[in-house]
Amino acid sequence: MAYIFGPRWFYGIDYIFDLVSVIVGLLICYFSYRTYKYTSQKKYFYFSASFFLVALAFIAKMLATIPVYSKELKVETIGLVTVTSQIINKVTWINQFGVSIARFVMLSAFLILLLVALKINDKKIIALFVYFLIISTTLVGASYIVFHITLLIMLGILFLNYRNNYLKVKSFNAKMVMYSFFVLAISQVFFIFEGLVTHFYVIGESIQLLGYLILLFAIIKMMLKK
Amino acid sequence: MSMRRTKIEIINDILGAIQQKGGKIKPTHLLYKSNLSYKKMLEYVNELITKEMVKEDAFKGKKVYTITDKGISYIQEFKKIKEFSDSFGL
Repeated sequence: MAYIFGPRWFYGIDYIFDLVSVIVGLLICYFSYRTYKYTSQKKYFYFSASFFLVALAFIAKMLATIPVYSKELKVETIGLVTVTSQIINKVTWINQFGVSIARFVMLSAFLILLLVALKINDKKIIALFVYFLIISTTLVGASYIVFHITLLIMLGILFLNYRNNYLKVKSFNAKMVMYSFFVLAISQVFFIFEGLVTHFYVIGESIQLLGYLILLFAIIKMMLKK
Repeated sequence: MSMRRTKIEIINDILGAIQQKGGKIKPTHLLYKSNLSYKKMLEYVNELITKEMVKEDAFKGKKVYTITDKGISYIQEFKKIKEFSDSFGL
């Protein structure tokens, strides 16, 4: 079974949405890495790495779904039954592998972000988190629901953390960061139910795009600060 | 009650103190301006020397710390770094 997301009319449009997330991820990665070079504080390096992985996860997802989407087009135009069935088998394998990698990288990215945000340094606790991460992506790798529930919990905790931070610093950008993680968490609720209603994928992608756009707005404001 | 300074704030204060003194400062003046213990000040200054933001010079036969171009650019970047750090609670 191949992982195909959302209704047919949305094929390709989600690439544009995901591309925005890639740009935001790389921008934060760059800014945090530059801060690391100035301060030599490892937390900025890990923060940078986490957003690099976010970008990488989106790229992996895009690459994994390209063959499926193009396969759909080939079936329509050529219509050779025997040939298409061979393509489907190959494409399905690439798709499943690619999406599994994307999910693992995405959860790793937000796990690192959680460890940095919550200032968790205890190696035993980190090892436990890594164990759960591997279990949730390998043993139940086929279940998109487990992936989205895990991500929802992670984003929910990050939202609460950034809410506390906003209440402490009371700055506009801290408020934007808090909102962005709230919106990103909400998007996961729709992704959880995308199997029931196909259009929930479209809603989830749109909300997720909004979340990353808020984050983009905040990071641009930080970079332009004088 | 004053808040405890973060590392990036202390670095900014040290570099700012050197810049305010025309780019060169005596260790004793820096000790007074940075509001740190002598040991801590040396730790920070040595780190800044390693990062090439500050260099050790001699001026009229006495040791002075001189801010470099990299140090000046840190001061310019500080507000962005601080805003970034505060916004994400880092």
